[in-house]
Amino acid sequence: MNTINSLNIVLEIITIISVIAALATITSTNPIIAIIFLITLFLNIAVYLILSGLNFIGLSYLLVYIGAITVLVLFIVMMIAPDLSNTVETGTNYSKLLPSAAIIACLALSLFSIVVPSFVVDLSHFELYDLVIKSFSNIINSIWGVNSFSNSTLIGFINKNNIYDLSNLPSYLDLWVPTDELLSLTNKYNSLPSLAGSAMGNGESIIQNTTPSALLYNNLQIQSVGSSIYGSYSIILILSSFLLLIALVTPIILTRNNQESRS
Amino acid sequence: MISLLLISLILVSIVPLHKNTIFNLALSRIVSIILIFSSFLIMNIYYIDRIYSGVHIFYGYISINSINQVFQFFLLLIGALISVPGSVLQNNKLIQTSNLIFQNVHPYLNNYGLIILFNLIGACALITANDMLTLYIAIETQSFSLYLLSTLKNDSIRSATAGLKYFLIGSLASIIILLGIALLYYASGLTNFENLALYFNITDFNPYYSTLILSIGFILIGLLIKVGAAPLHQWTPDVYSLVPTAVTTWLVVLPKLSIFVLLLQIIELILLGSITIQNLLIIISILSLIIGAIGGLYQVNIKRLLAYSSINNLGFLIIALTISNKVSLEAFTFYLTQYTFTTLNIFLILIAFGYLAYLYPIKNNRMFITQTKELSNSNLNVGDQTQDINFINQLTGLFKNNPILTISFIICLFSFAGVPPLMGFFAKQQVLLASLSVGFIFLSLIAINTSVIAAFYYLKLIQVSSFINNDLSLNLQKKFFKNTDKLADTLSKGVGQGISKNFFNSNSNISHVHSYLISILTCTILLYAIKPTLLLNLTSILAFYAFSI
Repeated sequence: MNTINSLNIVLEIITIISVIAALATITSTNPIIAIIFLITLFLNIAVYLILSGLNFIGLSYLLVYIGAITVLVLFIVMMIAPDLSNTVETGTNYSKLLPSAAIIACLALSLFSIVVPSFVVDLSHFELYDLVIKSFSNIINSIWGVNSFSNSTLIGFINKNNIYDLSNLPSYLDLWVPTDELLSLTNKYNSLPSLAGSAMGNGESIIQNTTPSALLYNNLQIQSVGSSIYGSYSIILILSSFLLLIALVTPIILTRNNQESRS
Repeated sequence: MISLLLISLILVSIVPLHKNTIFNLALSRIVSIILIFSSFLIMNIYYIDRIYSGVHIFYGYISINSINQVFQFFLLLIGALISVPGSVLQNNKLIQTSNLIFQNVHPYLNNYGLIILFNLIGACALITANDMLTLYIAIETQSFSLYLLSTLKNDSIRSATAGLKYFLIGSLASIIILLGIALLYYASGLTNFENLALYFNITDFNPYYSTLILSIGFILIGLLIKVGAAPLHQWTPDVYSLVPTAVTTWLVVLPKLSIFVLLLQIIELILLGSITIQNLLIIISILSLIIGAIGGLYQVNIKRLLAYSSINNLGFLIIALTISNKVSLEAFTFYLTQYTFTTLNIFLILIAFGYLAYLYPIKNNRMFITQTKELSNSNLNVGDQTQDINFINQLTGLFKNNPILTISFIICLFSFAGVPPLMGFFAKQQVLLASLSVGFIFLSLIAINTSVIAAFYYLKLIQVSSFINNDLSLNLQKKFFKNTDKLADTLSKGVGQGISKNFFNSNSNISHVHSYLISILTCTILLYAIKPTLLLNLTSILAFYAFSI
């Protein structure tokens, strides 16, 4: 219990770093620096995902966002060689708007702190030494898959709101009893897949392979992601394929010269 | 039904590869034929005894019920109707005039059909959505194609401005929707609409109650940004006025229709157990009514004016949505249908006016240049601007030139203003009746007063189009082209022949399909009072199903 708590502290720190990186991304005047901050942000999020047990999704996040998208954007920014004087001007515009932005941010934060329970984590009952040691050991454990945290990966989909404080875990479970009934109730619509249940059942019986790659690539995760994408989420896959298709068609249509197509 | 649409879309999206062999016109015609065919296919699979109160398909991510089916049919039919006129008009002009300029009229409409197919897939998925994931993906598909549609005329800086603005605001709305969905998942762990409704019902005391309310508020606000309701309306007049009229037609009619049908289906979920959301909706409707009425008063651009009038109409729709009993949902359905018909008709007529004015590009261009000197440094060329009616003063003397078209225009405007024998009156009456029946007296007073205020600018449009004399503009024309011999020559020719006579002859330049469409829609609006049961029965049945779900 305590180890998971200390891991949560690490996740909190990662969250804070990612928020700072996001702020730096939108406020930095130099576009290349902005993109580097964006890469930092994505890296943080990928680490967050991996630490919270979603290894496969974290890795694919790393591959797709950092490996493909941001590097592509970086290339494009380098190719078009933007005039930095304009961006400096926009930076001064930002500082003009800073007070109103601060007010809006304070309002939003207060709203969230009212609305989201356990938004602010109580740090008082953790000792620093304990925190550092346990967190690092826990990171290593979770990456190497020895710890019990790795078999809660798929349940993590549902349990994620619990991640900030575990003190109200029992009440939380009490809260979840009706929704479990609800899941069984709606099973006749096949609206929610029975995937989570099967994952819970099979999670213990997985043979713990000790090679790092095998642990990072938990087979169960890939299987479950694949089966849910091609099974119950198939219509969403089809729809998102159309979304990607229109995203593909858009630059072609926008950049094509209409003058040529007349003749 | 969606799968057929998908197959037809793939077929059509392959076709542009053979651009040189297939005429663009044929492509547009194929699109509209496909849309009509798939709309009838949807009615063909409509078995009311099977899908009494909804069937869930694809693991509950999509639900089929009567409202879905009827509105999908309606949506596809409207889409087909919009995509018809542009194509046929081009053909007609090519045959009749074989002028070089006419070929340049619609180069940007080449890809129109392709994009509207994407948009309709998004819209159909949106109105059948039964899950937050489906909702988000569908709304993104719809919005992406709309951004592309508004940037379609990529050689014009106005269109690019509009597209960029639309893209930024729309993506902001998407982010807000996504945040709402994430909060909802945080609070309940559910995304399915049915499960959420059950969850709201069975939990008496919920520690996550405020989170649920906030998340639903976020989703609602995101959707209302997408339709452009009042405090979030700033993008609508800009985008509508900057894009070409053929695109504006699509932007005004279709996305609003689909998002409102979605709201009609999830309104029970949205309003479940929270006065807060209802108050939010009431505030939004009051603001929409007031801003829509007052904002339109000082507009000189006709499309900005129509955007404000659509905001005013949104206020009525949101009132009907907020009350959410059987009478009000019936009124909502009817108002939505009426709004779609009238707006579509007005924009079709504006396109027709634009084509008529195209015969005299000099006149129009003169008007354009004198009125927007500030825009003259942007890259305007004659071929871009002459086909669109942009300013109210461009409508001067239209009654002399083409009385029948102007009369149908006037009928549409009266219907918007709510003059009794027309369709718009009955829609407003139903909404007000519903709101009075639940005791929203102040709200109904505001609605009545704002519709009176809004009647002013409709009447101003009527006055400009039919009672202001054309002579003034001709004098201005002479002054303007005094120096250039060539243009003065053209002008004197035009004046000598008598512009009105030529305009009468030019009736044939509006294609048959276009004029039939306008006349049918106008007759629907005009003659609705003679046999109202046809539409009223449909809407009451739909409201019954909506209420029984």
